[in-house]
Amino acid sequence: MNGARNRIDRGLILLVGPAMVLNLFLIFYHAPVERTMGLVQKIFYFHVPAAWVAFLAFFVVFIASIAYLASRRASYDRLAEASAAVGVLFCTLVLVTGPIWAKPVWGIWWTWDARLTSTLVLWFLYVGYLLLRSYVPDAARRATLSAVLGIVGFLDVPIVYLSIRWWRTQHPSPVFAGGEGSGLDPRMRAAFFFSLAVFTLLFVVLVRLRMRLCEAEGRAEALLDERRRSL
Amino acid sequence: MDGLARVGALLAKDLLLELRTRQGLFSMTLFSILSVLLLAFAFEPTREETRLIAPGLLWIAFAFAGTIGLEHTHAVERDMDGMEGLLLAPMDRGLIYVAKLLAGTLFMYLAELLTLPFFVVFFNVDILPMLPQMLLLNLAGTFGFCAVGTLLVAVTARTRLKGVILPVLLFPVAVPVLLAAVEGTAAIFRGESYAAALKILIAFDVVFASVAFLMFGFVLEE
Repeated sequence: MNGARNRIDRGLILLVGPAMVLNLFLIFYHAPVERTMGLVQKIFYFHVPAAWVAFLAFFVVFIASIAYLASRRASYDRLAEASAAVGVLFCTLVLVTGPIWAKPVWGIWWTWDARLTSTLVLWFLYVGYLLLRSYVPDAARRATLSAVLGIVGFLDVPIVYLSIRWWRTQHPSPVFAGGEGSGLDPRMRAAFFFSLAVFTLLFVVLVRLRMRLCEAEGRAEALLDERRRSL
Repeated sequence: MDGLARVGALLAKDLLLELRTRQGLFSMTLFSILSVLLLAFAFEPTREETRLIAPGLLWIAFAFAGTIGLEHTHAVERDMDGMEGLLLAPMDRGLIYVAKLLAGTLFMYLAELLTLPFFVVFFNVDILPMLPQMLLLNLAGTFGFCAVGTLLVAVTARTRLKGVILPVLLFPVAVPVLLAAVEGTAAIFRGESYAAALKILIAFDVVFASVAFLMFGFVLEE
């Protein structure tokens, strides 16, 4: 059982490593340089897939949280934790690459746009989620409390987005028409979708590895408890 | 009706407790007024531009004070294991949520009312003509803030450091309520219609309170 899982993980890592190198090749050599924005537009191939992975990760936290409360199986809690941790990582990447791209293109680091602002609120939400987990030593209680936050937090996402769009959006629409919109060169599109696939695969690999780490931590904790009791 | 009577009994208990000690409301109001004072130091209070940001300042003070109030309504149960007694009572745990939500909203609302005169004096804003609208909007905003807060304070109370991380969890989740409340208050200050903000705020209240009601039982289980 463990051997099979090891082989799958090893296979996935062997797959995602070269795929990421190929991804870089497609982004920097295959896809043409964008006419008005120039080289900086290459961030697009990292920024948008990272955003996709972040939202996917938080959705997985939501589903895993519901599944945990319904079934009380520890594996769902590990999935939620692993996915939240990887999601925060990618959400951070989004928030870092965004301003780097925005400065030369829009002339400003930050704009109070609904998507930007709600991504920032999202980041705070899930850092809070991880913080909460670190504050609850008891495993079962940690799983239940964080599942509640995982559900409430995710349901909050569309409400946050709407409220910011109604009241705090200061520019009508980005210069760059929504990313993968019309008029994208076929080679650009190929590079973009390949990047999207590679990032998603990377997400799967990282979550799997993180889940194994959580499991090992759980076992170590249980061993420690046993030892304490026997003393 | 049975459920209503139980909520009433729980609420009466919290009110009586507050009436006897007066700790929660007092510290919350004091903190709220103190926040207004600090904000008056931070922003030149008599300048015309400060009027424009006054609704935001007011809600910053309310949100800070509300966090303290929520923490207090839960801390009273922690003190002598009051929560144990509540959990042993044969009733739906959602009712505990409803009672705590009503008590929290009431105390925070009272603290807001007691802060307003100080706000008027410090910032020289005449709120008397718009008082009825403000009272209504504040009630809706306070209810929404407490709807989320009552659930999250129960979550953070069961962590190692008790309420320390409450604001970190509460503020991001409460962003829609605070935004709607600030926008509504700003509309009132400008003399415009606040109906749109109020309606949306009430919708948020319903959504947050229903979700929190459903989740509350999970938080309390041992």
